[in-house]
Amino acid sequence: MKNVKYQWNTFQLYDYQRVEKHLSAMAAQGWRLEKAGSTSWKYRRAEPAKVRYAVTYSATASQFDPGPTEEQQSLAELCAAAGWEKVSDCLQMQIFSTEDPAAVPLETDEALRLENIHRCMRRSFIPANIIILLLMLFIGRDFFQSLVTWDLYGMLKSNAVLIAGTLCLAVVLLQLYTLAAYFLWRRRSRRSVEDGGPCLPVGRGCRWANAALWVLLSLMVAVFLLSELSRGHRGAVLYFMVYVALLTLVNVLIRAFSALLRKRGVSKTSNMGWTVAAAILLAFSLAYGLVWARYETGWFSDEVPTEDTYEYRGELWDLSPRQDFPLTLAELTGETYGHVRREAEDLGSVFIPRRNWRETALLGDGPKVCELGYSIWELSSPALRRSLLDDLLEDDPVKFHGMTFFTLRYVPGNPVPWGAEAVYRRYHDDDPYDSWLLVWPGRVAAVSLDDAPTEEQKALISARLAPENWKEETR
Amino acid sequence: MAREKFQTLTEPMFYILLTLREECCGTDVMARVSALTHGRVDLGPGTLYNLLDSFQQAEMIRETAVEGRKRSYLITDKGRETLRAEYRRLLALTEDYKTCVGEEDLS
Repeated sequence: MKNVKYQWNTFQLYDYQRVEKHLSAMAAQGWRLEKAGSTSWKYRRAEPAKVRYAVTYSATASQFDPGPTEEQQSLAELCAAAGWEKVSDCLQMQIFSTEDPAAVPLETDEALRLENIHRCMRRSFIPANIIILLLMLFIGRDFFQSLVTWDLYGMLKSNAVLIAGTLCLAVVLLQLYTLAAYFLWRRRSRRSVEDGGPCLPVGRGCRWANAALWVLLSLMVAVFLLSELSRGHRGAVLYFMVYVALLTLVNVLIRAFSALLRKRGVSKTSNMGWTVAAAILLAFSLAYGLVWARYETGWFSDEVPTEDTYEYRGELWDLSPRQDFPLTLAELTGETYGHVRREAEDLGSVFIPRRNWRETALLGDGPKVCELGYSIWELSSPALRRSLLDDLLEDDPVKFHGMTFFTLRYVPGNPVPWGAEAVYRRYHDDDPYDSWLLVWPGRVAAVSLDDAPTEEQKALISARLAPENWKEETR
Repeated sequence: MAREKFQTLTEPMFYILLTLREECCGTDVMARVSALTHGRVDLGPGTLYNLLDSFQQAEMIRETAVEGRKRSYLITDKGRETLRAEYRRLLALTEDYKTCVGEEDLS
């Protein structure tokens, strides 16, 4: 039979009433609080008993204190004289217990209790919530901008943007809700106290909102991983798992480091400074380490294994070119290519699937290098297509040190030879390039060629890249 | 709300200042207030701790001695003046009551 039990700490700092009730109920079931941490609370088995718990607050207490401060010791001394024994503390929350049913309550002035709670909230809870809120607004700024301007493509263009953006939005809403709930509780409690009553109970909304966020997080992660796996992105899934594991490790290391400093009696200020420095160092090491591993090693790559390639003229070429390309250079030009390399990649999101194809080939045995590249977006609604086209057709100035070198833009062309609903050609300022945007109902393709295509080549490109239902309708 | 400026005093505030006319520690304050009011005013240790802190910050009491965890306090001139002002206010209330109701109706 286990004698120790842990529970997640789901209490708001100001929710002293629920803490007191919960701890008394646990004691009645034979579990006494032993240690209240910021993440989890530890209980030890004991004889079931009727125990009164009471919470008070010490505004100067900190998780970085090497031990109880003089103020905390004075408070404990006063409480001991009144028959209350210190059990534990969690941030500024000081938890006491007594088995004496006649012991004077810890707090006998509700107005003072409310003022003291607010002083503690101003020191830790409110700044922490605002920092998280600002951080999430910063991280998800592109998503929020897309949301405000109702740029559907901006929001849905990739799984990563969509999932990170949704989670940032959920956290922002949770922080706003948490802050609003506290200020609302404070206002109502103040009215109650002014009328001679007690502080009011805290609603369960914040706990439900927190739980909902965790459910949403789990669902989004599951959707992301399944979506990536279904597209064969095992490297991306591995990268994500390693990222989460290392992030957890960093978190554990930072907490352990801070705890070690506390045990060694390092002062609060030094502990805070060293812990923040360690957190920044570890966070940057993690970020740069992962970026290095991603781009400098093949650990997270989904590319074709090297045994399927060979080297010629300092480059790798495919031993057996991939056959799942809807259009190849050989088909388009009728030429013979001695060495071919094909790369295909699934991008986009579950809402806007996008696939890129790129073929590089040597004409004969070289040295002339030819290239064909195209991307296809599948768009399930006209609104998504409109949003994508708004994004792609917007002028795109290429700048360096604030100076515009040229502007990339698309100019409408004649769609008839392309067998498309609309066609746009890429220009660098006023110079036309051999890149086209082909638009059909439900599909958009961007095609990049080496030379201007002939009418036959345009028809072939359309025949290979246009959606089947469009081809049937126009046949 | 919380009488930050101590323009008027709650019962706990009044009795804490009253007992600190003589130097004593927090534990003694609790015992003296209870004895003085025959248990009518309960002073919770959390409330006492916070009030002692607030009074100190407002320079209405001062710390006189620290022996281990035991801290002793004594009222300052500013604290005495606040206590006197509260006493005058209470007297004024009493006089107003007498004027309106008379002394006979105290049952």
